[in-house]
Order: sequence, then structure tokens, then C-alpha cells
Amino acid sequence: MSPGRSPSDLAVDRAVPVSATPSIWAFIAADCFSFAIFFAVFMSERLGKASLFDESARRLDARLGLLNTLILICSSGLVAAGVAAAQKGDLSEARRWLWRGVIVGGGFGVVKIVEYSSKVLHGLTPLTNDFFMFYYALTGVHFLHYLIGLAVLFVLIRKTRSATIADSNTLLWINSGGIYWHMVDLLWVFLFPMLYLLGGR
Amino acid sequence: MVNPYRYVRTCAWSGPILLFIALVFWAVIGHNIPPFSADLDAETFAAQFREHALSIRIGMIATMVGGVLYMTWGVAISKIMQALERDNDVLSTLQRWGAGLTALIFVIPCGIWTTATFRAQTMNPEMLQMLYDLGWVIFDVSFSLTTVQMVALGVCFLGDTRSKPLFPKWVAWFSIWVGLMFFLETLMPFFKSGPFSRSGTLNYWIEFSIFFWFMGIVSYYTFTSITRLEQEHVARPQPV
Repeated sequence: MSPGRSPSDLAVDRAVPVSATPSIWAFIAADCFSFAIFFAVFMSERLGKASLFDESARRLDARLGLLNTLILICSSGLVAAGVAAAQKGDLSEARRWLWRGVIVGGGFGVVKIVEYSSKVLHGLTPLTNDFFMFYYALTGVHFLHYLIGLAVLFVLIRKTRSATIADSNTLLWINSGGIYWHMVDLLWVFLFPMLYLLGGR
Repeated sequence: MVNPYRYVRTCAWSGPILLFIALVFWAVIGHNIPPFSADLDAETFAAQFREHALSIRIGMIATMVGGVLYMTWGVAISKIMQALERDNDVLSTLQRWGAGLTALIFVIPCGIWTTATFRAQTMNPEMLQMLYDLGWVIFDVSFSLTTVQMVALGVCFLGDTRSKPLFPKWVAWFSIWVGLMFFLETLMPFFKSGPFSRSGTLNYWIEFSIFFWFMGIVSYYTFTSITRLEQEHVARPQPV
């Protein structure tokens, strides 16, 4: 990067200050807003059919839902440790924590697939009734977010490998990726009680 | 003097003009606020559609003719993106293609709906309903053509290293988010009523609102970017 600036080089500034708030917050805000709408629509549809929704919710296995909640919270903690290590400049330490986060987080996908298969085998599909329409749609959209999150974690792991020092760009990626993964966790923390516990036994 | 931004502002006006056409002609005159529910039986649907056939015909023709503006709008946005691209022109090309193909999604479904109005008074109600459904399935489920445009645009503008970026980062993220939100439309063919149906809270009111906001917000920053890029071009030392 050349030290001087020519008059025509209008304010091109490669270095992003480490303290800058990652712009991914705009995406997080928009995504949380959309989930808030989904929750509002679910709750308003539930108003007229509370007994149907409650009876359907009881057919979900709350233990699996709770297990998934614990998996994601734990995974989030591991990823947060990875981000902290990266901020201290230790990329190989960061990589180790990120791998742990991926491995634990991977458990969510396994549980979800087991849960979906068992529901479908019992004849409970998105077309069964309105509750199950929401159950599959909301957990399905969340699952897509989760898969994207896993892909992001893999990208972060790659970056810790290819970067030799924790430069501001690598840190921005790691910070942003961590924030996204925490959002995936947060969304599930709301989904779980709303779908599994509300009206459930 | 060579002006690399000649015609770009003209093309950029396509965005606001198409937004106007979409809101006034497609939405209001075309009776799409919201569209007719998929839950109606054919006879009821046909009766309502026939009552407004002339108005719908006018709205749809205007949208068919205006649809090309989405393509020309995309060309303007590409010129802004090209000012930022360093390694190659993949992102601006993807954006241009996405915008161009989306233009067809204005034209073709509206052509189907115009056809439905053509002999609406004498056509069999089931056929009328089928044409209406056909237009909507193509209109809604072809979203990924537009997602490519939105994600390419967003990724490109996230890579702007200016201390004051041409497009604010939140606009780039908003663009990516809108493109990904469209995936809810995959549920539309499964439901004839409720929030995921073509006239539902999520798959109509939210999805279409965020699309129109996208067009407005990106149009605004396209204009401001053109001004800045023209100024940068003029300030740059010219070859003798």
C-alpha cells in the first residue's frame, strides 16, 4: 500500500479498523426482524386454533428440542472462544475452538434429521395441519440458516489457515461469522419454547 | 473527453420508472393488492376476475411493456459495480444477467394474465383460474433469477474499500437479505390459503414489500454513486 495519496486517489482506504462494528449487523437486524414477523404470524394464527396447536405441539419431542438448544448454546460458546483467540492474535488456537464449535454444532443437524424423519414416518408432514405447516416452515428456514452458518464456520477455519497473522480483514470475517452463528443459536432459543413448550405437556 | 458514465444515469432512471409502473399499474390498476386468493373456487374467482378484467388488462399491458426497464436498470448498476471490481467482472456480469432475466418475469406472467382478460367473459371458469394460477407460479417461484442479481450486487458492494463506500454496507447486506428471503416462495405452490399462499402475509405482503423497498433504496444509491464516480473521473489526471 503506497504511503502517499495522490489527489485523484479519492479516499480509498484498505484498512478496516479493528474496532469498527462489523456491517453484518445490518443483515442480523433484518433477519431477526423477519423471524419476529414469522413468530407474530404463528402466534396470531394460533389464536383461533389454540387447542389444535397445543395438541399438535404435544406430538413433538421436547427432549430433542432441548437437546438441540443445548447443542447450539454450547457450540456458540466454543465459537466465541475461537473469536476471542483470534482477537488475541492466536490463529491456530482460534482454529481449534472453531473446529470444536463445528463438531458440536453438527450434532444439531443430526438431531434435526432424526426428528424430521421420525415425524414423516408417523405421517406428520407440512400439509398435516396448520401447526405442522408452521413447524416445518419455521424449523426449515432455521435449518437453512444453520447450514449456511456451518458453511461460514468452515470458511473461517480456512481463513485461519491461510492467514499468517490475524490482520484486520481476517478478524472482520471471524467476528462477523461468529455473530452470525450466535444469531442462529438465538433464533432457536426462541423457536424451541414457541413450538415445543407452548401448549406442550 | 471520454465519459465512461455517459447514458448510465438515463439507464438508472429505469428503476424509479419501473417502480412507479409496478405500484400504480401492476398493483393498483391490476388488482394485485393482494392478488385473488388461491382458495376461491373457480366460479367465484371467475366472477371477481371478470368484473375487473378491463382494469387488469390495462395494468398488465403496462407492466409487460415496462418490464424491460428492469434490464436497463441492471445495466446502470453494473457500471457502478465495474468501478469497484478489481479481479474480474464476474459479479457485475451476474448482476446484469440476473436483472435481465428478471425482466422476463415481469413480461411473461403479465402476458399470461393479459391473455386471461382477453376472453374472460366467455371463458370456462376453470381455464380462467388456471391461467391466473400459471402466471402466479411463474411470477413467484422464479425468484432465484432475482436472488442472483441481489446477492451479486450485495457481495460486490461489501467489497468497496472506500472510507465512504459508494453504497453503504447496510444496503449491500439488505440486498443479500432480500435475495435470500425470497426462498420462502418455494412454499407458495403448497398452499392455497394462509401466510405462505400467493396472497398471504409472508409470501405476498412481506416479500413484495421488501422487493419494492429494494428497488427504491438501490435506485437512490445508484444515482448518488453515478455523481461521485463522475466527479472522481473528472478529478483524475487525464492522459495527455
